Amino acid sequence: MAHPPSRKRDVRRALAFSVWLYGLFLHTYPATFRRAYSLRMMRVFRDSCRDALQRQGTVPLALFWWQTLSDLLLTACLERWAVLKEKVGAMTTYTHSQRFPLRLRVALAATLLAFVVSLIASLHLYLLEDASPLTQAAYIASPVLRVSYDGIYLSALAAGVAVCAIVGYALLQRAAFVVVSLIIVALLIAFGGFGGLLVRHPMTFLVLFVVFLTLTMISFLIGRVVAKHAGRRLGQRPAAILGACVSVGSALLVNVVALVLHTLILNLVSHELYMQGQIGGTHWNFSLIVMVIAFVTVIACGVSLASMFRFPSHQP
Amino acid sequence: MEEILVKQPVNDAEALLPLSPAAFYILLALTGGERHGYGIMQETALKSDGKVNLGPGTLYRSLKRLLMDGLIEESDERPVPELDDERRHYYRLTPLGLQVARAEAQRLAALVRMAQLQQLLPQPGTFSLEGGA
Repeated sequence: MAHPPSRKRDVRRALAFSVWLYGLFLHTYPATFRRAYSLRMMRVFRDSCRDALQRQGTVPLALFWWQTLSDLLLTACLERWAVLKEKVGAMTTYTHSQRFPLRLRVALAATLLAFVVSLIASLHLYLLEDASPLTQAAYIASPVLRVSYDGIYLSALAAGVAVCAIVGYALLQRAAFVVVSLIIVALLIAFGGFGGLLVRHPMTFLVLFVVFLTLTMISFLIGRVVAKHAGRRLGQRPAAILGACVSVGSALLVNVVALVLHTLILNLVSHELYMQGQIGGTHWNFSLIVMVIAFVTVIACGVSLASMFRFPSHQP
Repeated sequence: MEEILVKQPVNDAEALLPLSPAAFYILLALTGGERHGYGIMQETALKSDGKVNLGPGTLYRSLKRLLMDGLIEESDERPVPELDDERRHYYRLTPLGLQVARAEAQRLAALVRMAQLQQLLPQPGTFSLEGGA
């Protein structure tokens, strides 16, 4: 059957436009599927569309498009669902088999335990000294006592930020999101931890803020260096978690050194005050026990983290 | 000691049943020889009296699945090379694909027999006034 030239032109235009539009719609499919089949699908679509146009003209094109689009949307959703299932499956295998070895889980548990113990030790010291009327006298008697006290407090806060980094790397896929979240968390912790000083003692706040940020940055950078080196053997995500554990460990190391120093000096001072009859007794025993437990858990954390570096290379 | 997991190739046709209607139509279309994607669509529409129109999405999703399962393979042969576009991809049945198509046909035939026994369908060779055969 012969068609007038204007109708042929309309059909050609409608066909070209339809093929172009279908090419755009193909972007709803996952990239892997598109790479493999988009050209073939476009060719099949062009043939079907041309036949439909030649048989029925441009008017019933809407019905043809309706059928094509419903097929496209349904199969694109199914294909994306299949890809998602594949990714989740791969992630589960990745999580439970080679990539999160037992040693990393032990190191993680030891790190969290050391953090909790150090936090309790720091809180114990805070409650002890905050409630005591002799604290100021003790600080005047020994400036190291004041510095080590601030060191304990600030390093515990820095360790808290690093613990948030562990959670961040475990939950978020993109490292950039973790870094942004950590900046927000660090500011919240700083202002929540000693923000009150901003009004009463702005200079003290500034000094503490700078020390806190320095501690947090140093521990974070140590963690990133470790993560970079371990990434080749463990994979990116477990290495990032290991790096965050090392960040916590390095902040806790500062914490425990300050804690040991502080406890020993505190006991000397309080012993002297006791001998002078200014206080009824010393808190020698409990402080020492807390200090020793904190010290032991940080050592355990360090050993478990060090054992990760003797871990054999990951075989993909 | 690391455990090595080896995926066993699927050789048992029964393990791949039941097929989706689209997959079965594609296998049926390919029993007549190599066909390209649009050829499969046309053959399917023809065999189903125009009742089944595979869209490009359904067609290539099913082809992908059938290729992965080893039921079909891509073919370099062209039935009529001089009339054909060389960019077209042709598909043909593999021996396993033929075996699976037969097994699916038998499964469906058994279902039809069951429906006949339950008088949902007329028995072969009988005439029903209520319509159908």
